[in-house]
Amino acid sequence: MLRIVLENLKKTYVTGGETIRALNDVSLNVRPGELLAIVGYSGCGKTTLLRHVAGLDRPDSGALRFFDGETPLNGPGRIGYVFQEPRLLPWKTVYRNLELALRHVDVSAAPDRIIHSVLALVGLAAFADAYPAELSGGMAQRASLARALCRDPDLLLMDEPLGALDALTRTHLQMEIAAIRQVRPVTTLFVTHDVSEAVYLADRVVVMDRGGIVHVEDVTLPYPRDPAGVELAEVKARVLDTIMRECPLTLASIRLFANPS
Amino acid sequence: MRRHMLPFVLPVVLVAAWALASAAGKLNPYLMPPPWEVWDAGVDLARRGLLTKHIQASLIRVFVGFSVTAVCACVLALIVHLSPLLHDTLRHVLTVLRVVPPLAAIPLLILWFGIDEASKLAVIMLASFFPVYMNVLTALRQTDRRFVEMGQTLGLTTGEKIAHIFVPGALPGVITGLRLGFGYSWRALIGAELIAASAGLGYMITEAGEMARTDRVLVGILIIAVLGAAFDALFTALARRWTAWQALTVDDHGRV
Repeated sequence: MLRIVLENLKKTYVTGGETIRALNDVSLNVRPGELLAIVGYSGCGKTTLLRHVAGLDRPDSGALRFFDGETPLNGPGRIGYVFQEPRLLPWKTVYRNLELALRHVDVSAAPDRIIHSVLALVGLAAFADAYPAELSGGMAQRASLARALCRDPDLLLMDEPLGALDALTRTHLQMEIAAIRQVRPVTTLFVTHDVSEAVYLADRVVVMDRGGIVHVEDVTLPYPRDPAGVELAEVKARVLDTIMRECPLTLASIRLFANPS
Repeated sequence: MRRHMLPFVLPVVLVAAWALASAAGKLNPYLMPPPWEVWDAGVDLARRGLLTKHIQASLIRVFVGFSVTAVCACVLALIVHLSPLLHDTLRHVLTVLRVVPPLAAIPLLILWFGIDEASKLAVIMLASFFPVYMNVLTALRQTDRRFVEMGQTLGLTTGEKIAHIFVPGALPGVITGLRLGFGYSWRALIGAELIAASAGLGYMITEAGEMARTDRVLVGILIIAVLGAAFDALFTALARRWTAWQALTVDDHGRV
């Protein structure tokens, strides 16, 4: 199973004349098969981190290393990336969108069966032949989740995958993700700003602020977890407490963040 | 009255006004013959097989010229889009070629290619290349970067990105370009035939004009107009068929 080592990643962007430190010396070990949740305010570098792991962005300095056990790999292998917005190709039906995702995947079963079973999993069995524009926002996001899952990825990268969903669908899919993980744990980076979701799903929760990692919280509770349980509430309180203490969101800090000089 | 009939009302009114004015003797029949005489002239030309001959000559030219141009323009736009270096290299040459009206190049083209088909095809290509090229290139430019990134995470090859992301995404722009380009090549062709040809609708008009046969000139103009409008309608229909996904509206309320 995939293990990832991030070493001193740095990345700055210049936007509108302002230099933004999106990644400020990030070092992190992602353990094989774990679900690592990344929480933090908008603009703290969560998405940038994900994009670097996926190879969509290159760091200014630092290194990303991928391993299978102790064997070094050239890259992360097969990625399932769930973007913040669905990014379904509007000229293809849901079925064809998933079919494209399976193009470079050696599948044991017939692609047709995989697509239909994954669509059933996210509750879109009846919408295989619908075009993205015919779906609601939540349905489109579920289709995008299905596209990532059907690839049977070595690495799942999810950028607020449930952020746009209604509360009920969200809870349902959180339980589905937890259930899938029990059957087949995939190394997963899961960006969210919902701390409850993070502690419910994750093996570890990383708190990011202004491009850096300020805290890593181990969530050792066994699956299946009780989302309303006392143990989970305690972990959540600890994470929230850290965020309140370590990540002061003041106007002054935003200015400081925008002008690192 | 049904809404889709509306666009046909004004043309009918104009022809009726033309007929009434002619019947009332308000129009000089030498400068503007009445519609029935134009009709008779058309029937006469058709009976003698001249109409078919000229229409055929013009259509073959425009189809051959335009097909070659359309393919070249689309392929070049795709290559230029994928290679920024080539884009910078070709930029000024293409701009100069684009801003020169093709009719201005006719004397030169006739000297180079003679008055046969080759010079006419060259004019058509010059006239229709840029509308197609510019529209396709713009459409490719506007392809959503986010879809390309998505394709990258799926491990798609460049060929697959072209086939599944760039081409379908650019298709609406491609069709607009083809529609505009066809209009330009049709106009340029008639222009070229006016100057030098031995057959074709443009030639028919010049010949009639030299013999002061305004009725035949009008037959030529009307045929050019009807054919042009028919092809435009054909492109619109194709556009609707090929980009049906664009017409779908977002259903925000869900249909679960």
